[in-house]
Amino acid sequence: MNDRIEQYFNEELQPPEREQFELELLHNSQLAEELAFYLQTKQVIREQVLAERHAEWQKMDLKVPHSVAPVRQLQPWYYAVAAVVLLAMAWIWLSLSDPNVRELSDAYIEENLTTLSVQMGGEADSLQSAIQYYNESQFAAAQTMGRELLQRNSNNAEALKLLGLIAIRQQNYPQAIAHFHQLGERRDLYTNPGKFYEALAYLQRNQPPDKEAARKLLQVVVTENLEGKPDAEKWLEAMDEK
Amino acid sequence: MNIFTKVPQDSSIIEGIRTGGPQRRSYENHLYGKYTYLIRDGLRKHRLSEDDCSMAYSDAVLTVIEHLTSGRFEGRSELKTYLHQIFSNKCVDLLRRNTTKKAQVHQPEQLTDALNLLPDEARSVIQQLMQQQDMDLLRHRLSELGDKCRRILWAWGEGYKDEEIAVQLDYQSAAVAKTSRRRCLDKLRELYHTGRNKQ
Repeated sequence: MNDRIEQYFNEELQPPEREQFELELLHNSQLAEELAFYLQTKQVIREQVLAERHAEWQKMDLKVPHSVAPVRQLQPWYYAVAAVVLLAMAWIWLSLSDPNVRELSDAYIEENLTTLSVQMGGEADSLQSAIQYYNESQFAAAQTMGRELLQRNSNNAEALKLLGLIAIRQQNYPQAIAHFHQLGERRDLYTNPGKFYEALAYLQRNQPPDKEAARKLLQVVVTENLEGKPDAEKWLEAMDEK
Repeated sequence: MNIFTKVPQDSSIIEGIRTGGPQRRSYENHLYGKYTYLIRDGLRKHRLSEDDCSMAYSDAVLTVIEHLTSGRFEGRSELKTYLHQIFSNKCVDLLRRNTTKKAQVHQPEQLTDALNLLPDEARSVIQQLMQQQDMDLLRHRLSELGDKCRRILWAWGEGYKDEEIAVQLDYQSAAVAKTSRRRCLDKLRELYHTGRNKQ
């Protein structure tokens, strides 16, 4: 197997080597086939690992011990206390088992925004480098590059989005809100996550009026079928449940 | 799971899985057992069958384990919420697949993440090549691999690092484990192509 395949997916190649590798994939059919085989194999193994672990976990679930304890007659008031305790436990379970909207937004960031696709901006090299810095948590460097991109072209929506995301990761919520608001106002984009991300920034800031501001934005995302709609629906549902 | 068994805190589970070694499996099982009630939530909210929900939950737990070992989970959110989010997405995916019969074109998240690293043109070349591959033959060839190769590839598939694989499977060093793993992949590829040429 070509060493560079794994290094590429582990993001261990330097930018020039990376570009060379990507270019080679288009002209070297053996390399492309090896890479396709590598990914397919990893996928098939993952499927089989899942099937095995699932079976294992199912068996583990069956191992609930059936304890044999002597039956003892209890006083009637024991039952009343037990009923109250059970009701209290059920209430606690119901109110704590579902995460609240703030927790959902934390998980969203963790799952979707800690590593961005390097292809987010297409061919623009400096945007990709900025995203690379973002993925390595070098936010200051990513921010400098993002600002330069925006200075060169104030219509660069991807740069605006990246600056908003950097602000979110740096917990600079007013700035994130401002960037995403500006993005959300754009009507010339094919997909626009601006309003959804603005809601996310409000939920993260979590000040008294923020939840309502987020709710309004999420409602717009749902009614106008904007980017982020499935998560917006879940978050609205979580807001209504609490 | 025995309700009287002491269940570790999430922080211990995270550390146990990240530290690896012989204890990792036990922490993974704790993670699975601790939040199995999510399956009931899935049944209620997504109206999936119990088997589907249970598989989606196992898939979500495996994904969380992968994110923990790869460092993708940074601890910004609670482990429970993170698992809930991933499980919920898996349920929605499953629901979509069941209703739109798109199972054949479904692309798992891990594969999508890997493909997204490639530029558009290269991605479509690779996707075309992948579509041409015979998955059944690949599965068959995997099952024909020797036990040692199978074990090393499985450990790799579970996200174990070469250092851990070396300790677990008695290789002299991580470098030796890495070389052996790659040889096993080459062997599998050779077997696969032999099978294809015969067809």
